[in-house]
Amino acid sequence: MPIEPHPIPAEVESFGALVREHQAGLRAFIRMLGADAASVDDLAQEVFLVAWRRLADFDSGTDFGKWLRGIARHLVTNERRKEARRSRLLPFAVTDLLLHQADHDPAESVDARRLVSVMQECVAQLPSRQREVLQRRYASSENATALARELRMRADTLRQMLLRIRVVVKDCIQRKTVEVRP
Amino acid sequence: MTDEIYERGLSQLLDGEMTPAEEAAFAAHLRDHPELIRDLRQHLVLWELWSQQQAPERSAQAFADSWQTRLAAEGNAEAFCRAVEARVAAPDQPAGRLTNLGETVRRALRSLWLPRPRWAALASAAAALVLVVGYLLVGAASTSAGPIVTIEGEAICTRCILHETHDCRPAVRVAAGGTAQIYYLSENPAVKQCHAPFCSKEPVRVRATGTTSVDHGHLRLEATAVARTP
Repeated sequence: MPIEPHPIPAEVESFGALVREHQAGLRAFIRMLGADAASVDDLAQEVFLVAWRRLADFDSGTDFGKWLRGIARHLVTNERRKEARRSRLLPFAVTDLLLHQADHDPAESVDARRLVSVMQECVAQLPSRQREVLQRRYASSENATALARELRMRADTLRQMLLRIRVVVKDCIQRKTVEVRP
Repeated sequence: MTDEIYERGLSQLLDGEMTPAEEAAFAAHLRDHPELIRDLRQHLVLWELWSQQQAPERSAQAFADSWQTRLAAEGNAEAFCRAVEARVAAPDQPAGRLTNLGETVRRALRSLWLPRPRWAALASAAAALVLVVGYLLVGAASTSAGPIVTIEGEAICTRCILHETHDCRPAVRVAAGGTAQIYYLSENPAVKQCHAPFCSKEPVRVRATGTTSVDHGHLRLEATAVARTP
């Protein structure tokens, strides 16, 4: 049974602009609530689908990002309650702490653009070898073990190296007086 | 920072795996040192943002495209339900007990998208599947594979690009008239012979010929030939 493609109505186009505007901060927020790295995008898309369906409930005078984050928190909390064999979350004991913290310390919006900009400056200051390792770790979907094989390193040595890099970059960001929210 | 327990746990969380015992020990350590939870949250935010910047399949545009694809899939599910309802309501069809089939399928498909317990979604989907199979067995002769079509579009991976599956499966995104239609390809020898474009991180255009069918609101293509286009 052939299905005709649906033309995208104007409202979908304009909602798509909102998706592009809020996606980076929302994905970071979902990760911070305890989403597994591989499932962040999946969960974020579900947040936007729920928002699309419930658009009539949104009060246009209020903060759209905050509304999205409310949906996200609800979605992750529901995910935590599931007895799924394959969870989309970090280890539950850790996720529980992150969700608990989010309840007591509601996050403001993540200024993704500014953070990324400062982060790029800090990464640019790393020695070239460290910069390369960091970029390769995140440019592909390879995990650290596979990357270690490619780099002919022991996996735990690579993990240690990545941890040191992360700490240096995070310290650099804080030195540049950017508050890494939350 | 020289907290070895925290650093080891953070490293495993970001780059490795934890055993249940390690998870419990890490969580207990965080409970004893709540100030570390803030540090953990900051790392999660920072490296998530970095990942979005570095991985092409996680770019803002790729994310927005995937969202639109999922929205379109919902629209297709609606169209599928309307088509089933129209067929059931047609006077020359053996309707009767199948009158509510369209609504049942619609509810099942919707339930797969809503944040509800998974068992409920699966049960609804299973019920819909039983009804659809029953409908096919009752004698809807037009349910055989559709006509042979040739499509041309972007080869994509259902895991890396669409984020719909846990493993990589081939699909073709066809843009037409301001919309995008996803054809999910069956993994047969014709597709396997031209597998590389579907695993590429860069967009690769392909042409595929085969028969279409609809499965759970997804448009499937049983391809007999797949090739890159210049």
